[in-house]
This record gives sequence, C-alpha cells and structure tokens, in this order.
Amino acid sequence: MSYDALRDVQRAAADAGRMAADGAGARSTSVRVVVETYSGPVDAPGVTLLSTVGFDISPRPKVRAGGSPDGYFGGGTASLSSGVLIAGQYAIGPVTLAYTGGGYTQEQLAPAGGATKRVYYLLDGDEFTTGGEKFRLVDADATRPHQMTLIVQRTEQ
Amino acid sequence: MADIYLALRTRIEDIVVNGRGTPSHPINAAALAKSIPIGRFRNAVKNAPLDDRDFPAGSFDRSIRLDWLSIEDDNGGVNNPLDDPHYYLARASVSTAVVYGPEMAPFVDPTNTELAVNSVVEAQERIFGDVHRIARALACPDLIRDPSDTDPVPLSCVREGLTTARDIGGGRMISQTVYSFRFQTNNADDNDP
Repeated sequence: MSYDALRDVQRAAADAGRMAADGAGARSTSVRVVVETYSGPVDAPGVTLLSTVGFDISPRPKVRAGGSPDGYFGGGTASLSSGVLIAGQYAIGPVTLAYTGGGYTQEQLAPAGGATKRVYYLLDGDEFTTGGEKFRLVDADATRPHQMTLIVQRTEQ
Repeated sequence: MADIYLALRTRIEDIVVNGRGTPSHPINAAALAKSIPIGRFRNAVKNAPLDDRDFPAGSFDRSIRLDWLSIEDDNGGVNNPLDDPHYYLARASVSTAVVYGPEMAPFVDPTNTELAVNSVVEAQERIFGDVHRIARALACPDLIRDPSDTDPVPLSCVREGLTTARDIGGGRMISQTVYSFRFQTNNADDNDP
C-alpha cells in the first residue's frame, strides 16, 4: 500500500469516528466557514458585497471554550448573561484533513483574508445566539498528520 | 438640529470618508481639488478603537476614527445668553491607520498608484501622507462650510499641534491629529437630543 493510500485509509477511519459522534448527537454546535468578497475595501463607502461562499464543516466538529478575554467585539450569550463584553475563544476540531471521499484542506478551513474579503466562522448551537455568532481565526494548528484544529475568537457581528 | 456633535461628525466624515467636494459629490456644482475621493478612507468598523487588538485586519488599513476631546466657548470667553448665535471651539482627534510588514500586503488598501508590495515597507510615509491629505481637506473652507447649514454651522477646522504616529504592534500603525473645530449654534434651539 502506498503512503498516499495509507494516509487515505487512516483519515477515513478518523472521519468515520467523528461522523459517529455527530450522528449520535454529541456535537451540538454547527460551524460554517464563510468568505465574503467585496467590490473594494471592506467597510469602505460605496463598496458592495459581490459574493458570499461558505460551507458547513461536516461532520460537525467538537467545539470547546478555550479562553474568555475581554474585548470590544465581545458579547453574545456571555454578555447577555453578565453584561461583560467577553470575546470568547473556542477551539474547533479536530477536523479531518482531506482524503479521497472527504475531509478538508487547510485552504478550505482557513481561507486567506484580505482588504476586500471578510472571512469568518459562524458558530450556531446551544451556546451561541440564535442565528449564529461570527468568529475570526486566531490560530490554525495543522501540526498533526491527519487533522486540524482552529482557534477562533468572537469578532464584529 | 438637536444633536450638535452628530451633525459636526457627519460633516467631518463626509469630507474624509464620503467624498464631499469630489466630482460625484460637488459643492455648488464645483469639484474641489482638496477633496478626498470617496472610499479613500473608511470609518472604523463598528466605531472600534483603532488600537484594539481585535480590530479586524481586513478593515484596518486607512480606517479613521474621530473622538471629541474638549469643548469651550469661543466668544471672548463668555457666550452671553442673550446673544445669538453662540460660538464654540471643539477639539477632536482624528486617528488614521495603516498596516505594514511583508505578510500584510493582502490587507493593504492601495490607492491608484500605490503597490501593496511596496506599501508594506512605507508605513510612515503612507500614514503621514494620509494625515497631510486629511488636514488639507478639513482646513479647506469650502469643504467644511455649507451655505445650507443652519444649526450647528461649522466655521473652520485647523490642525492643532503635532501629528504623532505610533506602532501598536502586529504590523499596525496609527496616527493621531488634534483639530480645532469652530462652529456656531442657534441660541433659540434647545439642543435636546
């Protein structure tokens, strides 16, 4: 068996386990990766939204709280509860890296940003405001051979 | 006009951000050379402080933020309650922002002749150039005034003291300039927001 084939088998097995957890209802938070492309610099006057592309990470990954720094863009459930603007950090993953038949590439999970793009992660579920809350990427850990974990922090809504 | 400072802020932002006096937004049918093209600068996203470490990178370059700092009477030290109009001198800080550094090129908002790859090593030149442009536009009487103004009436806006720039880390630099902003109000208005 080639290394490529072996890698595919291992990733498929890992993904099957994650699908089982999702199927059993153990993943209450959905994660959507969204890239908005604008006609010019984001938030500049006269600039219009040209396109919005996104996808839900499937199977739903584990999402766990990883920090609670205060911040101007804090809020959401934590703010509703306490009135303190907490820009919560969350770890998303592990997410299975791409294999034949599934998984995601680093470029898909952590799209490049830019002056004319807005990249965010929409977290929706029990812990988050109905309709989802927007988060930005803080770190992407792809040091493990078959998986990737994203660290995100609440951003402007 | 009830909310004085909102009206004044709108005038400043019209000049700096929204292209007041440009061919697409002429004043008395005239486009003014000192006007700033629409879209050259953008208001800070959600009015966030520019030095907030969570300020989105994609919205940072050439963002501006206005902060009112102080207000004083400008009528010999006393505004006689029987006089109309009243004159005031407000001080406002206008902050600007640029990104820099070799990995920040995608986040640069270049103008017509700028190249992002060059701009990322010219942070100080860019930021002081931006300040120069803003100061020149705000000081232009034809831009700051408008014949249709009633209450409040902006009269003049000039830079006061130094413009300073500081590196806030993470490939971000911001400048701060204080402007003296003279205006008059209608003494008959209750100015209740």
